[in-house]
Parts: sequence; structure tokens; C-alpha cells
Amino acid sequence: MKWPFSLGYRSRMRRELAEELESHIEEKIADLIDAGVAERDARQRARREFGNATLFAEIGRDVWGWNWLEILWKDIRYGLRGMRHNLGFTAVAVVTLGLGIGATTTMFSFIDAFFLRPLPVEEPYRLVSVYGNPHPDAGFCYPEYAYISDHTTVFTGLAAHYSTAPLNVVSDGDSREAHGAVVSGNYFSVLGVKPLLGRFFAAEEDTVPDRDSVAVVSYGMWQRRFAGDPAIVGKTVKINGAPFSIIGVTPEDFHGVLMGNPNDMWIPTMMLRVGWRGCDGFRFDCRRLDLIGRLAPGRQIAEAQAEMSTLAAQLAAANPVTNRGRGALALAAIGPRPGDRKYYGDQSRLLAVVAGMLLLIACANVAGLLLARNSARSREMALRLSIGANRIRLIRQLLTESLLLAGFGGIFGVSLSIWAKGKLVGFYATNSEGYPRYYDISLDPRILAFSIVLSLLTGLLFGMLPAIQSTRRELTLAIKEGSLSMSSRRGLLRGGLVAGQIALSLALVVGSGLLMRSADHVSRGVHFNPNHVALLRLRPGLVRYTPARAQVFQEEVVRRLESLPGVQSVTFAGRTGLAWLGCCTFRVAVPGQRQNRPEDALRVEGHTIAPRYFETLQIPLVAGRDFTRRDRTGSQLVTIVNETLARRLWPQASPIGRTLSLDDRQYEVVGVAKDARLRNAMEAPLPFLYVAYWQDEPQTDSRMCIRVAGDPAVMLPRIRHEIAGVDANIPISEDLPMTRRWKESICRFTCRALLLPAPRGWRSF
Amino acid sequence: MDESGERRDLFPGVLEMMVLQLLRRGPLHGYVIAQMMRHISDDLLQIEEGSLYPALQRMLKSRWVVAEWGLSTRNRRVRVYKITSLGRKQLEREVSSFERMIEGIARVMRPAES
Repeated sequence: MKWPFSLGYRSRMRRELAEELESHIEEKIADLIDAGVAERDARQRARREFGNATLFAEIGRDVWGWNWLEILWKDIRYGLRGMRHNLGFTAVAVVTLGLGIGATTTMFSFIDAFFLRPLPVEEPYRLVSVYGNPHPDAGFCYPEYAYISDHTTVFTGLAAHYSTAPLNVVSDGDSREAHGAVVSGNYFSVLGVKPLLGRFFAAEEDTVPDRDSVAVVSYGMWQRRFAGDPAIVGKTVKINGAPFSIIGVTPEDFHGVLMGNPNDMWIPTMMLRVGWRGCDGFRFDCRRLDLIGRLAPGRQIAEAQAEMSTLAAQLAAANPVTNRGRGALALAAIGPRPGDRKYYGDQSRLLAVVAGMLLLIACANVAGLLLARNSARSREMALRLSIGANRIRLIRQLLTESLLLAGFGGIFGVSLSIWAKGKLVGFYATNSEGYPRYYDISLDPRILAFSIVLSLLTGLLFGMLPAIQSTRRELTLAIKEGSLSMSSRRGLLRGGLVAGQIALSLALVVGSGLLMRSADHVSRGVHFNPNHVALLRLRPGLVRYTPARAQVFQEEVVRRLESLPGVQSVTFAGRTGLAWLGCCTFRVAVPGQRQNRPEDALRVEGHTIAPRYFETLQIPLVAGRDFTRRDRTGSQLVTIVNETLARRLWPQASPIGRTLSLDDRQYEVVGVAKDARLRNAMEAPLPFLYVAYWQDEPQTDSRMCIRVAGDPAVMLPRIRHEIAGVDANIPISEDLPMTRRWKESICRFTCRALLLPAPRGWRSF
Repeated sequence: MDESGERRDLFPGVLEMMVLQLLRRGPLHGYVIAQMMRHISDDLLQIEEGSLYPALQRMLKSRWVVAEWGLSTRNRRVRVYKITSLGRKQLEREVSSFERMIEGIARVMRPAES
């Protein structure tokens, strides 16, 4: 249809038709007057014999079949007028819908970020990720990558990346961990990313192990760490103790290829031994690498899967010892790693259910309001039906009004969602290891399209039934009885709406109440006190400290920090995990108490801690003693249990002095601590136990907790300085006031609770 | 609203046929068409005059007639309709099919005489 033309044409046609009808009537009146009829009678008769001029004009226009746009415009204008006249109703409906649409859009933004958003690189949909199978998180070792890369035909380029490499960067006396990635030399060219500054890796820089110490930094790191220094290219920094030269900076929107794990620094795979010390990346038993490839023109992902399986089988045939049964999994390079998909799927489902319920309640609310408003308008409807408006036309108009409401609700909702997303990025801000997460949830065309379609569907959902209902009424009845009558059918509909709404609201209120309560518990903490505690992580292992040397260092750090003014107590936890959570589980048995078949064994979570842990976190010790420096290698193994574990193992007697078998080694119980509900106050107190750091297996990693008199944020720089005084090269990371880290880690409870109680306030029935 | 009692709709297409028939004799404007129909039929056809206009729009769209603005005898601006050759062909088709239909109806209604 030729729109611009027909628009002008149409309004002319319309004017002409109206003029024509008018002149017909005028001619007739003139004729009648000439024939001797009085003017008043002549006018009446002319009109009567002519019939319904408006209707005829309308039918005449309809002949041309192009007036839907016009009708729509008229309906919109009429609807807007109605909304203006009824501001209270409009405001309530728009806000209600906005909350529903906003929540749903926010939910979708996360799902979009998790599963749908492609990498910000050239032709992202041609990229394929290859994971190890059956252990998708185990990845590939370098020789496997080299073999696959040499033999593939389905990819124009295949890159390897280890995107969670701990790289501690020392520059200008400042030591901090970067979220590193160890990547093959062709990584950036396969992705099609162009450097913002400098250059990326050259092919020959990834050919000889340990030779080319070159690194690329992210825009974010360049800005934060190097203050946007224009002379960044060529600068030398120390990465995990080894000097590296920075050769380039990535564009601002590039954060690496692993969803949720932003990278700040990249080094070549030939420097793998710097990036990972757990095993030698060049050997077959050290599988840290994931692969990402760009499909050759015309090739499909299924072909990639077939070829990868074939190559994996060839590898298995050539190396039966290490590679038997190992396959490969080729997936579109979008979304989380296969091992993480369930977690993100669960999170998304929870969000989707909550947001969907909110939206349904909003729809029911507004449908109820509309029903009430339409029964007030039933006179208008009846009148319009009786003067010849057809029902479809009226329904269309009512629906237009609903869609307008939904449209405004959508605009409000999307703005709300943009605001809320800013608040909610902390939702998944840290994982259980304490690493930050990054999700790109900025508005993109998919989210916009989603919210537009959602708004339209919402408008239809809440508008359809009221529209059909309020045009169904018997004409005469409505005109006679005005707005007071209500058909029983409508009563039923309304009753159904109320019942459904109450059911949904109840579910949400109960759910949000539970979450609120637990969030409240969690944020206050039960039997421990996160205030005035500074946290930091020391990783001497990254700079080639042996466990023995690391322990000397560790003791020296504690000694110096304890003598620092303002510091009240210093402690640390070992192995992995956040300082206040468990690191690992122990197989627990009481010798002689029960027949210990393996399946009877009790598995209890625990942590390995240094002396003064209870004092520093203010977890009350109810019996016995704390660990001391005398509890070290060679002395009697000791453990401290919490009250729940003590009650469970020795319901009647005191546990102090008893023997406990942990992982088949005999420990003496020297203390009982309060149940500090450290993880999650929703669950009942869990059995928990502590073992002494100095008696545990040799280790090089520790998470320090330092109780200070004032603001931990103020103390942290002095603490860092003090540690640097012992050894300036030691990586210090995750240095934060505990309350902040704490809030991030419990956000999964509190943020949901924040999201949930919304429906309480805006019930409008 | 309808005090003249029973009103019967015309068969679809009949109004157009009659208008085309009138226009065959020369261009007319809407009011005159309505007056002529009323007079010639001796008020037997109870058509609302306004219903003429949707029919005229339909015919314009089908290009059976063309319209241009002119002046009535009272010097009022009116739209004057003129039949086209397409309209004449249509009229012939309509008339013959209409006659067949009348004939058929007549036979059914008065079976004894057939």
C-alpha cells in the first residue's frame, strides 16, 4: 500500500464524501421548502429519508478498505482522551503493568545475558566452543589442542584458551590479581577482535615454551590499573613473578569468551607454566584448555561435532593410557560452559516463575479494573451499538485502549528494568569461590523486542475478556438499567480473576516472606560478626613459594600485622573457599561408636583455620580451647566441632578430649564452638568442624581475616603496605571489608527478596 | 427509528444496477439519482437515500463510474457521476443475470402458469 499517498488521498476522499452527503441533504431541504414544507419539518424529513448519514459515510469509506490505519489512529486518540479523563485509573494500571513488565524484562535480561547474547566479536554465530567430553569442565591439554588444530578442516581457525588463569600482576610496586587468560597465539584473530592500542600476539610468539613474555590487557584494566596511560604498550610488569611486556589493549566491550568470567589480561599458551601451576600444561594429564573455533564458510556445527569426535578417537587410539574414552563436545559459542548450564538454568527458571507470576497478577489486577471501568461505560457501549457501531469495531477499540495501557506500562516497565538491573548486577556478583562475575545485561534489540511483544501480549491478555464481556450485553437492558446491572457471566469472570489473583499473590507473599526472613538472618549473621573485619587473599604459591617458605612468610605476616596499631586480631583460613565458609568435607567417624561400613560414614563440612579465628570472627567458643601455635605438624592432631556436630555424636556427654576419626586419621576434640550459620540461615544448623592450619597438609594459599578497631577500608592500604614489607612480590587479592564481600555473597538471598515483596504494596482489588 | 414498518433489503448488486441504468442516459449527481429512483419507482422502493453513497463508492472503486465536481441547478457544488465503458458492460451482464433471476423466481412463485 502506498502509505503517504493514500493517507493524503484518504483524508481528501473523506472530506469529499462528507461534503457530498451534506449537499445532498441541503438540496433535498431546498426542494422540500420549495414544495411548501415548513423549514423545520423539511430538515427533519430530509434527514429521516436520508438515513444514518454517519453510518453511510463510514460504510462508504470502508468500501476502499484502507481505513484500518485511520481507525487505529482514531482509536488511539480516543483511548488517550479516555486515559486523560481517568488519570487515577490510568496511573494505577500503568504502574501495575509496569511492575509486571519491568520484572519480566529484567528477568529476561539475565536469561539473555546467560544464554542468548553472542560474544561482541566479528560474526559471533560462526564461532563454536569445543569442550572435553565426558568431562566438559576438564578441557584439553596442549598436545591435544595442537593435534586437533593441525588436523581440523571444519574450522578456518581454532584457538585454545584457559580463561580462569590466576595472574598476579605487580606493577609500580602494586601487587594485585588479574582475571587472566592463557590463550593461543591465534585467539584474537580467530575471534576477529582488533586491538584498541598496540598489537595482539604474533604467530611466532606462541611457538617456543617459556620464551615470549608478552601480555595483552583489557580496556578496563588499562583504565583502572594504569590510569589509561597512553604509553602502556611496551611497559613491563611482573606476572606471577615473571617479567612480561604489554603489547596491546583490547576494545572496551571485549571481556574474553567465557560467559560470566571477565578477563583482564591475556598471555600466550607457551607461557602456560606461568599461568597455571597446578600441573604442567604441556603434559597429557594437565587439561586446562577449552577450544573455540570459527567455522569455515558453508560448514555446520554438526560437521564440527563429527570431526571433533573423529579427532578425539584418533587421539585415544594413539594415547590409550591418557585418552581412552575421551571425546569432544562442539557447541555454539554462546552461553555458559556445559557444566554450568544447570546452575544458570535453575537461576533463570526461578526468576522466570517469579516474574511470570508477578505479571499474571498485574494482568488480573488490570483486567479487574478494566471490567469495573467498562461496566461504568456500558451505557456508552450500548448507545454506540444501537446507533450502528458493530461489535468487532467496539472490541477493537477497547483492545486498542488496553494495548495503549500496556504500551505505557511497557515503557514504564523497561525504564524500571533499566534502573533495577543496575541494582541487580550484584545478584550473581561473586561465585562461591569469591571471584567476581560479569554479565552484560545492557539493553539490546532482543530485550527490547521481548518487552514490546510482552507488552502487546499483556495488553491482549488483560484486555480481551473485559472487551468481549462489556460488548456482549443486551442493548435495551443496558440502556434501561444503566450501569447498575451486571450479568452473572461477568460476575463469574470477576470472581475467577479475584480467586486466581489471591492464589498467586499468596504464593508470592509466602515465598517472599520466607526469603525476606532468611535474608534478614543472613545479613545479620548468626553467632558471628562480619563488621570491622578486613579480608584479603595471599597467594605466595603463584610466585613459586614452596609450602615451607610460604608458612614462614605467613607467620611473619601475622606477627607484623598483630603489632600494627588498630589491629585487634589476625587469623586466616587455608585451602580454598571463602574464609567463613567451609573448604571441604571430611569423612567423620567416632571410633568404637558404630560399625563403620563406608556408607555409614558421616560427611561433615569443615574448614582449616589458624589460631584466633573464633576471636576474630566473634564466634563464641562454648567449651574447650582455641587452636594455638603449638598445634603443628608432629603434635597431637586436634579438631574443634560445632554444637550441632557435638550433639549428634555425643548426645549425652561432653565431647572435649574425645577421639574423632577424620578421613581415617585420629583427632582429639579440644573445643566446641557455637553454630555460626555462616552460609545460609535458611537451613537448620549443619554439623561443622575445624582443623588446625599448621597441622593440615602443606599449602601456599591463605585467606586472611583481620579484625580492626575502625573502618576496614581505611586500614586495608596499611595492611597491604605491611605485607609488602615482608615480600613485595606476593600476590594480594580480594582485599575488601568483610561486610562488602559478605553482602555480595548473600545477594542471592537478599536480592531475590528485594525483587519479591513488590506485589504486597499494589494489590488493587 | 423505522416507523414506515417493514423494510426489505434489495438483492445485493441491484442498487448498483439501477444506478448504472440511470447513468446510461447521462451524467447525474447523487441527489438527482435518488430523486429519479424515488419518482420512477413511484415510491415502491423504500431505500434510504443515504445508502446510495456507499454504492456509488463501490462503483467508483470498481471503475464502473467516474466522478467529477460540478454545479447543481441550485448552484451547489455536487459530484457528478458518469458511466464508463466498464460500467456499461457490467450493466449488460447484471441485467441479463437479473432477468434470469426474476424469471426463475417467477416460475417458482407461480408454478401453475409455467
